[in-house]
Amino acid sequence: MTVAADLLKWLVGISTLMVFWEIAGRQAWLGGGLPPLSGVFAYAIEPRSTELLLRSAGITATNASYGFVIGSLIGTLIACSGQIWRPLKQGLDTLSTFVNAIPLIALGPLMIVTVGEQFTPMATAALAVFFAVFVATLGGFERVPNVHRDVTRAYGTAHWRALLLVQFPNALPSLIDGLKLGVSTAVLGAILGEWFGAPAGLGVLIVSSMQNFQINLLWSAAIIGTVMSAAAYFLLALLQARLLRRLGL
Amino acid sequence: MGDLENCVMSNTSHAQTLQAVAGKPREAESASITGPSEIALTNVSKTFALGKGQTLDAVSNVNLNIAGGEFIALIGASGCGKSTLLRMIAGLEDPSQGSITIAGQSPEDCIKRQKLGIAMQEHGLMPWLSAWDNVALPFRLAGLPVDTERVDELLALVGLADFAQALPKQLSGGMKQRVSIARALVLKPDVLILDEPFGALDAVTRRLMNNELQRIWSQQPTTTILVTHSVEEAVFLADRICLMSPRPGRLALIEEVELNRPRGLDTMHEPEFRQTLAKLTAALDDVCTQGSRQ
Ligand SMILES: Nc1ncnc2c1ncn2[C@@H]1O[C@H](COP(=O)(O)OP(=O)(O)O)[C@@H](O)[C@H]1O
Ligand SMILES: [Mg+2]
Repeated sequence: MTVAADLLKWLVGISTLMVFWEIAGRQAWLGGGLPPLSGVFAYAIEPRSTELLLRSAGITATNASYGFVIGSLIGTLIACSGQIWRPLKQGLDTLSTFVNAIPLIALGPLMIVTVGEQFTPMATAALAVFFAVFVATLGGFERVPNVHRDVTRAYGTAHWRALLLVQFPNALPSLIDGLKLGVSTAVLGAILGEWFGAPAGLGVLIVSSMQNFQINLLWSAAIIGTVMSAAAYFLLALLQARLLRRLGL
Repeated sequence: MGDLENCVMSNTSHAQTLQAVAGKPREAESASITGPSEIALTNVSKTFALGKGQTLDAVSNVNLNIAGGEFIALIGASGCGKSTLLRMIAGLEDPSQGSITIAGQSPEDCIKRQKLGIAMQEHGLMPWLSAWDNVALPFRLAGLPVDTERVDELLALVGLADFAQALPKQLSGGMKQRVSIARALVLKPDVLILDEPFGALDAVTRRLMNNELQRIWSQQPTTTILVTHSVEEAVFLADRICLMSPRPGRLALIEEVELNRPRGLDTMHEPEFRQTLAKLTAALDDVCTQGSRQ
């Protein structure tokens, strides 16, 4: 229900934006940098450009997906480990504030020299997702009601068992919020990583079209990137709504 | 202080005589395996550090001996340290001074042997688990195989057999509290800790719940400590009532309740009930106004 309402709001917003874009492009309010939307579409559906765009988008989607899975797994596992091994928790809290302050763009060059150009997009995507999911999961654990903690303590429950039976289900809504945030950043992270010098992908397309002043290609690539992260976001929102209902929350 | 300690001592022996005289079923049971545990509190105090060198004396020098299978009610103004005392007995908080033993061992040992049941004012049910799974949760938390018959039995005991598959959000406030009490009882605890479990209920539901708790407790006598705001509830349920003075919480008065068991809804109309109720209400008012005058 709410996901459908969300989607509707988005569609209304996007159509308004598209109409404005078309008008602004036709009137050339921003000069040659913003062509009319219809022109961008016309360019994108030419077979040659469609093929190039889809191939690049496929590569970016793959990079983003791997990054998403790796990043969210590591983020969740590290956040959970602090619940099992208490001394780690303080360190993780400090790490989360520190990690939040690092700009991803500063890590790009580091990635190139460590994991290589091929894997940099995955790594930057994974890192971006890791931040989002790690912080969200820690936040979820903070919100476990005290009375739930008391119940687990009153039965002398082992930390890992309390994590599995009580803490993790409590943190799940927050974790999924993190995943939702994470899918958008995964796409962004992958494009950023490609930008630093990957062999192919939307990021590469954006850099080269910018340098060659292929305005229509540049906008097509940007739009596809946006559509991809929006679609992934809604997929997760749908999953979240279902899961929360299942969890009785 | 000396007087109070004497009073505690004599009360304990009195409770045991009372138990023997009344010939309660728990007497017969206490010979088998572990049985309900006696609890001893010796000079128990709790001071919280509030930071910046500030401290707060929540509980001060409490001495109390609770007989195995006895039902104790703890009353007093809010903020006088009742929950803190209860949490210390449950091993959820360490005393700053003094000691607590349950059947001669520390509360932590009692926890490790899974012999403790707790139900708090907030029901604390897991929203993603059905009523049945919530009652079964202690088995899983304790790493024991789930005794499905026992879970069924307890749901029936609290009158919720038909709601086994309902999620907490589908249950009323009173039903949730009943699930929470079934959960506290499912592992057959030696000690039952109840912190205002009916605090959020309306008067009628509360009386019915009291009656139900009374019935359940009579079927399986367990050393029980109940914190409550309601003097009526305390008199109806307890063998002895402990009145705590405002901060720092001390035991100001310990009162024996001489009502026969089993008690039912009509017990509340007996003159004996009304007398005890009036006496304790007056004592509570007295203790609380003394506190505010200081
Ligand atoms: N964890 C804590 N830290 C600091 N102060 C606390 C803590 N728990 C309780 N207190 C304080 O101790 C006093 C007694 O609290 P409590 O035992 O909850 O009272 P009651 O249950 O009788 O209403 C209160 O003043 C409360 O603010
Ligand atoms: Mg309290």
